Amino acid sequence: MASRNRDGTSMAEWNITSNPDRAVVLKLEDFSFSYQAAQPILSRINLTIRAGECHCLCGATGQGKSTLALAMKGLLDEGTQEGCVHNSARRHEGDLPFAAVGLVLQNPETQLFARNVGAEVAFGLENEGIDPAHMRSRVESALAQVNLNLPLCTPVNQLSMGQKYRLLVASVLVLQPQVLILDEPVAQLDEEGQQQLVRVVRRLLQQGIAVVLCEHDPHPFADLIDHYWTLYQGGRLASGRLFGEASVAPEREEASNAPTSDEVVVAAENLSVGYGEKTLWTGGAFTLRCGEKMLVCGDNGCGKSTLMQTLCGFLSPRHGELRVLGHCPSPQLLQGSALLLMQNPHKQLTETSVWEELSMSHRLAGHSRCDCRQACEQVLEQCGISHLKDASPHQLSYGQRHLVALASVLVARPRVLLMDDPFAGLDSVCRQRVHRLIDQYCQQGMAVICVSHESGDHDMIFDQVFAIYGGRFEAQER
Amino acid sequence: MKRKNVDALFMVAPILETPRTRINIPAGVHLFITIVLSSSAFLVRDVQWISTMIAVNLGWMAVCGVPWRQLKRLVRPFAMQTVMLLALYGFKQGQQGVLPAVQVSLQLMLTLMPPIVLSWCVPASQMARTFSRWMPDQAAFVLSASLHFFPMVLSEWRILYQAQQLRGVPLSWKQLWRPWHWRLVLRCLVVPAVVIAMSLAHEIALAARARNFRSGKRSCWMEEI
Repeated sequence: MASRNRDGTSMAEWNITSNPDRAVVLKLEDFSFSYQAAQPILSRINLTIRAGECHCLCGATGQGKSTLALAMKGLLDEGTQEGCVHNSARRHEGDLPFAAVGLVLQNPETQLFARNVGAEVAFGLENEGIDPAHMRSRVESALAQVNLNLPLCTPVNQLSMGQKYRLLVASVLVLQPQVLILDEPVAQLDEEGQQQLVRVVRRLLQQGIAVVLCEHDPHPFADLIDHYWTLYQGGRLASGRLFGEASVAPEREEASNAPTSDEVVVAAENLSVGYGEKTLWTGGAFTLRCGEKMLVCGDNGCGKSTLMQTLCGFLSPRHGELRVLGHCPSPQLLQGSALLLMQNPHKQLTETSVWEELSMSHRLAGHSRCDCRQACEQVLEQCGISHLKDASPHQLSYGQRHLVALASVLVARPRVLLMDDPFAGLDSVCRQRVHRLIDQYCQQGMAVICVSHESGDHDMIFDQVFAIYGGRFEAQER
Repeated sequence: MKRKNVDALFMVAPILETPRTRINIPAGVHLFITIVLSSSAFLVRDVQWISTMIAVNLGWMAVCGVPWRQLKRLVRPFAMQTVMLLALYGFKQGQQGVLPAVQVSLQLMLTLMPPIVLSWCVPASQMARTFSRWMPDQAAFVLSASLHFFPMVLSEWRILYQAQQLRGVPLSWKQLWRPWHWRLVLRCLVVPAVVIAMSLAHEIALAARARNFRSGKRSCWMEEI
């Protein structure tokens, strides 16, 4: 394996760090891409990937990692391209270009085309017109490669997020790729899911498959990565990884900093939540006062988002008592007083400019129009996105959209802010900013309930931390 | 306990979840029965035939193993639809509009029920295989994928609805009776819903291409029951 280069930030020289003994499977030469001539997304990218190497593309959110992944799979249609992508990997004589490059995109849910595991893995084989008689053995082999030992008739919707992700990897491996590209694998997975994926990637590398990770927080894969690359603003790719990219643990704020009052804003006693006929967890008991911050951690599918929905009043508690701002939660009663920041910000951004988005939220919350301008400017500044006020929220990067969505709820000055996995998919800079904003607004009396699948470092800034584990809602020792 | 009012608009979504029981009828036959039942719903005109069609559809649901609790979820959208139709027909025809309004509402429900049963019972790949007998493979796949991902689109719309309702957009039925709220609803709910659907379609198409989906002959996984 080639030596690691973690601290360099010079422009990439693709043929220096690679192991020349291994076959080149993918090579980008002076590759540039842009949707508009003045704003290149990727600029003169030089990158060589050899069999069995593990490359990690880092960079802040929105710098073009996913676009580069699409380019390596030959899926960029629109826009202007210069330079070339040599795909020398061929599975057999006459193989189509890029067919030997496997790509798993960010959102598992939009990539699952079938109802059961066998049909899902076979989807790629169907596309290649493989004889159905030969499918079963290849499907079973691919599932074994990712340690997913399930009956082929297992319904896909019964799998955990980690299993779904490995199923997608198997669905790509069944096509016998020589390069596997994983776009943001960490953001979607809990710690158990990440560890299982690490084991799969290790095995693939041993088999000589090249792996490219597009990931701003690649620490679970640190032992496997041979080359780090960083994408910078303007689409420039440089070898190495900036130290700022690494996760920085937030410092613990003293509890006395936040001026909490005795007013209870959320109280739960013996709470159980679920939907349909299913109870997801029981035993919830907590009290949140003005200015307090509460974190609820748990693995994918444990019922964190269901808690959010219950707190908003979209679901009724299955058992127990729940009061939000003194009432049984109901969307009508909570309008403007309790707001929800969703995990995917694009779902709550509806306007054509950032400014419109904020002023609409301010107006809908029932605040006076006179102080709208001042309030919007203040929140934009606090979120560090004043320069984006005329931009369309839909054309911003993931991290920027996240900050706009946060600004949009903050400008409404809710008394309770509910945040559904607000750190997922954010780079360290954005995370720090979100941490600071939470702290700042709590000092002004806002109460925050945050759910996250990462317990990690975030619990340091929260006053109360709970975990959902094994169907129980339990307080964590601090 | 149950989901609250917000599900009223998206009540069909849970019906399209993966079935627990299925009847072993060939997909082509199932599709044919669906077309016949749905078409018949438009053809029937009098109370007697509509009652017969209701009985036939309920019987079909029972035969196919669709749980009765799923049927209960149709009650509220049906009630809301009927109220809206009653208001429209009442405005136009007065008391005489009651019967036609109820009839149209029932017909709409009877048109909708067979496709719901179809999507409950027949897996997407089997549907694609059936469609591909009459149409190109790619078109068949697009059709079956649309059915497969429809619940996801509904789920995304539900999330959008919830977010906008909390934000303060007037979305309760009481507020929606006031026409001056409609512009805001259009701006904050309807247009974003279309954008979300288009964005999902783009994402799904990209995911299919990432799995080497292209024009040309496809084969079919034969082991999905």
